[in-house]
Amino acid sequence: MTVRLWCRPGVTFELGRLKLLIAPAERMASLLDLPEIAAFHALYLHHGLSEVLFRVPPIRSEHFEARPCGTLDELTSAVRGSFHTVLMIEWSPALAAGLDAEERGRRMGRLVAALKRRSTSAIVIVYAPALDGALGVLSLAADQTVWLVPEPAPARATVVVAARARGQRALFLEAP
Amino acid sequence: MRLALEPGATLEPGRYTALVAPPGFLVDLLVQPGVDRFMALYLYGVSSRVLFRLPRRTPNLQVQSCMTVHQLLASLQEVYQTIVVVEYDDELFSALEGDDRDVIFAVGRALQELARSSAVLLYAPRADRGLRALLRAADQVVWRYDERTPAPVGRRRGRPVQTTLAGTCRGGV
Repeated sequence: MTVRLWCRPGVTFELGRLKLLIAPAERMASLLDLPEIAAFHALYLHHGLSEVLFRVPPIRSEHFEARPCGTLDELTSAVRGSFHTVLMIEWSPALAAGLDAEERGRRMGRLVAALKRRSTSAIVIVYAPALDGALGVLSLAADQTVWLVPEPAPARATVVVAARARGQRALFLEAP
Repeated sequence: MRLALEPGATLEPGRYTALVAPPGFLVDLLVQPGVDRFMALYLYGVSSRVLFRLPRRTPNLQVQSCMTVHQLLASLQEVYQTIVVVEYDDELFSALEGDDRDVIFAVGRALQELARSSAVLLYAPRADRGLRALLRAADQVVWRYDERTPAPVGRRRGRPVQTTLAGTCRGGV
């Protein structure tokens, strides 16, 4: 059976491909809302307070596990030790903060290798609201990077009306 | 050579990028000064939703229309330009059924191979069945979506919509 998480037409997360998702937190929350998450063993790794988990109703499934990781090495070992069908990682820039470029590259390389290995037997999604330098390393190694960018909302009508009202001249000026 | 699609997302050689966005977004990308500095090819199908929106002083684009998917495939195999933009035309791809759909995957592979030497951008205003096969092959997908929720469908307030002329001319002319 093929497990696949549907995100957008043509954008799906499946076994065998490591994918990086850059999107607003609501989009990631909608992925966690999918029924497959409760139906399969799923592991959600995050650093500190998650920006996503509080947006979804509590997932009452014995197969779902959310685990905080304090450091990059802790995250890498959690990925290596996972057995789950769905593995989601909420990236935080704080994980690679304070590391010099060489050390960061080495540790990110280890994380990427672990993720690549896991993605052969699991759906692996690395999520971040924005790209940073360390995640750029992962983006180059990932099979696909997906950017979901919300279109800016058009100006509200009330603002347009107010602008037009400011331009209005008095009626007596119009009269001959 | 790098063209910015989004802060952080760039169009560059080595990565096959797909863009799903309103046409105005691609127009903004094509009028970037960086496009003029390189040889650029714009491939489209029967008609383009983008080209007529370009300003009068257009960037230095070589434009080519492809009437069939096979013609598109042949054009992709002859590309020598640095920037290649392919505008997805659903009319070309939606007609393909059964074994004919294999050519869509061939186009995906051709775009992947081309990305090794050129900056390749596949553009579509929206996704359909044909595009989905092409998106799977992409190294990077940038999707601009409208986050406004659609207006609720319900009974309209006020006068009902006119359906027949007889309704308005009752007892009249």
